[in-house]
Amino acid sequence: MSSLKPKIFITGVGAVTPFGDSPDGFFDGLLRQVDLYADMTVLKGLPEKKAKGVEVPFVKPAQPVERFMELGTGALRSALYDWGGRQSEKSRIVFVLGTGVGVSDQLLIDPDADTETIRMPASRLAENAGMQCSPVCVGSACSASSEAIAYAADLLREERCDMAVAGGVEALSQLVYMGFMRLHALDEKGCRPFDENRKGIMVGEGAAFFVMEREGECRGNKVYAALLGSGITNDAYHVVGMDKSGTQIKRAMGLALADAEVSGEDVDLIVAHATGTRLNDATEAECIKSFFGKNLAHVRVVAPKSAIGHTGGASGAFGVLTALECIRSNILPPVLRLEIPDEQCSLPVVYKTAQHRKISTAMINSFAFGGVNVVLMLGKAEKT
Amino acid sequence: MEITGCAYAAVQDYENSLGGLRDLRVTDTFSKMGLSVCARLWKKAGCALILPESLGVVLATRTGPAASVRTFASNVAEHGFYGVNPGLFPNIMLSTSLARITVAFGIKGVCVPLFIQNGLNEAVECAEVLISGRRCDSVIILSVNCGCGCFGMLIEKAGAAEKRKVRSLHLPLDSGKSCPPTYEKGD
Repeated sequence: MSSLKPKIFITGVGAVTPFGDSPDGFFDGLLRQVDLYADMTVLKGLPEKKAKGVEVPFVKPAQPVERFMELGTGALRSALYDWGGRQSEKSRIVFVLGTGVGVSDQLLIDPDADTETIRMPASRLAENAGMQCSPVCVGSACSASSEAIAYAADLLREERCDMAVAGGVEALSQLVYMGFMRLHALDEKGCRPFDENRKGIMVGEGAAFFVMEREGECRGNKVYAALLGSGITNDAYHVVGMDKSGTQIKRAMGLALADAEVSGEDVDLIVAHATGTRLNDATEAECIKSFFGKNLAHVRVVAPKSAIGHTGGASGAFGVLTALECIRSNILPPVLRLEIPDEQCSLPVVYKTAQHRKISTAMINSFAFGGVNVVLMLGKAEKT
Repeated sequence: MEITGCAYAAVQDYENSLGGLRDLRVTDTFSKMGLSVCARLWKKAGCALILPESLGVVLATRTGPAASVRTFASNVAEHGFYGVNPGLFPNIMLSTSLARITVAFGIKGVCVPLFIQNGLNEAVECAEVLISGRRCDSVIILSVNCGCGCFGMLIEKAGAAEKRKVRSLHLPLDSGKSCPPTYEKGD
C-alpha cells in the first residue's frame, strides 16, 4: 500500500459530556452504562410537562447562547490544553466547527437578536478559547461535526494549514425538541437503537473537539489515533426522509475505505449513527450488512446515542470520540437499553455487557436530515 | 481550476423560475433564493451534463435562514408549539435549504452548508480543496443571504467545461492563498 497523502494524527482531545468534562469521564460513563435520560431542567417554555432528554448537568446557563458557548468553550480549551503546544509555532491554524441549529433558540427568547449571534458561533468560540485561527462553521445537521472533521483533515492534507481543530457543539434546543415531537420522532422510553420496540430518538447535548496535525509535524509524542480517511455523499432524495435504498450511504462507505486505503476486512468496529428511529436503524443495518458481507463476522457495532442521546451536529464528533477510546482501550461499550434485538437489523451489536476486543480500524457513520452522509475512518496511529 | 459560470438573482426575482417545485408551499424564501440562482447557473453552465456523483455544492451564507428561524419562533410565541405547521420546522436549519437544492437538481457529491465568518474566500477555499482533494470534479458555490440578492458560480477542474463544450474563464487561483496565514513563522 503506498500513498502520497500525508497521515493525519489526532494530537489533542477535549470534551464536555453528560458524563463529565473529559474523554475518560465520557468513556467511563459509556462502559458503566450510566443512564442519564431524565426530565430536562434546562428547556423552559416547553408545553410538555415531562420533556425528557440527556443534559450536561454541570453546565449551568440555560440561555441558548450562554449554554452553547460554555459547552463549546470548555471542550475547545480542553483540547488545546491537552495538545499542549504553542499556537504561535504554527503558521496557519484552522478551526472547523460543526453544529446543527447552533444558537437559533436565542430568537425564541430574544426575537430582536441580530443575525451575528446566529452566524458567528465559530468566531466567538475561537475567541473565547484564545485561538488565533481561521474559523469556519459547517451546518449539515446530524453530520455537521463529522463533515467538519473530514474537511479539517482535507485542509491539512492539501497543506492549507499546519494545524486544524475540528469537532462539534450542540446545546439542548426547544425548537429541535418540539420539532421532533411534532414529527413523532421521539421515544418516551429513551433511545433504543436496533431494538425491536424502538420508537425514535432522545435529545442530548455536548461538545467534543480534536486537534489534528500531519505526521512529522506533531508537537509531541502524544498521538491518540490516525484519521485515515472519509467518504461524503448526498442522498438527493428528500428534505427530511432517508433514502431506504441506502445507495449513497454505501457509496460513502466505499469512498471512505478507498480514501483510508483499507478494505472491508480491515474494519473491526463500526460506531453506528443509530438514532433509534425505525427507518434509520433498519436502513443503516441493511447498508452495513450489504456492504460488509461476510466481513461482518469480525466487526462489532456500538451506538453511543443510546447513552448520550442525539447530540445533533455534535453527534459525529462523539462518534469519533467513542471510536478513539475503543481503539485506545480495546474495550467496547454496550448499547444501552437494547432489550430485544430487532431481527430485521441483526447486526453484531455489543449490548448488555462491555466486550474486550482488539480494535485497529473503526468506521464512524453520520447520516443527516437532508441527506448528507459522512463516513469517517479512524485507526491506530502507526507512524511511518 | 476554472470558473465555468456565474449567475445572480435579486431577491425579488426568485419566484419566477420555480414552477413545479416540490413542497413549494413550505419552502422558505431563503431556500427559494438558493434554488433560483442555482437554476440559472445550472442552465448557463451546462450542469445537467455533469455526473451527479462528481458534482458538489457549497452553500455559503453570512445570515443562514435567520428569517425562517424568526418566523418560526414568532409563530410559536403566538400559537404555541402545537399551533404551528410541523412542516416548517426543518426550515430553521441551513441543511434544509441545501437539501432542497440537492433534491431539486439531483446533486449527489460532497455538499457543504457553510456559515462563513469572514468572507466568500472561505467558500472558495472549500470548493478548491474538494476539487484538489479529488472529492469532486465540479463544485457549485452559492452565496445566499437573507435580505440580499444571491450569487452562484461553478468551479471545476481544468478541462471539465471544455469536455461539455461550455465556455469557461480560467481562474488564476493561487492554491493555498485563498485564506491568509494566521502567523508569520517566528512571531
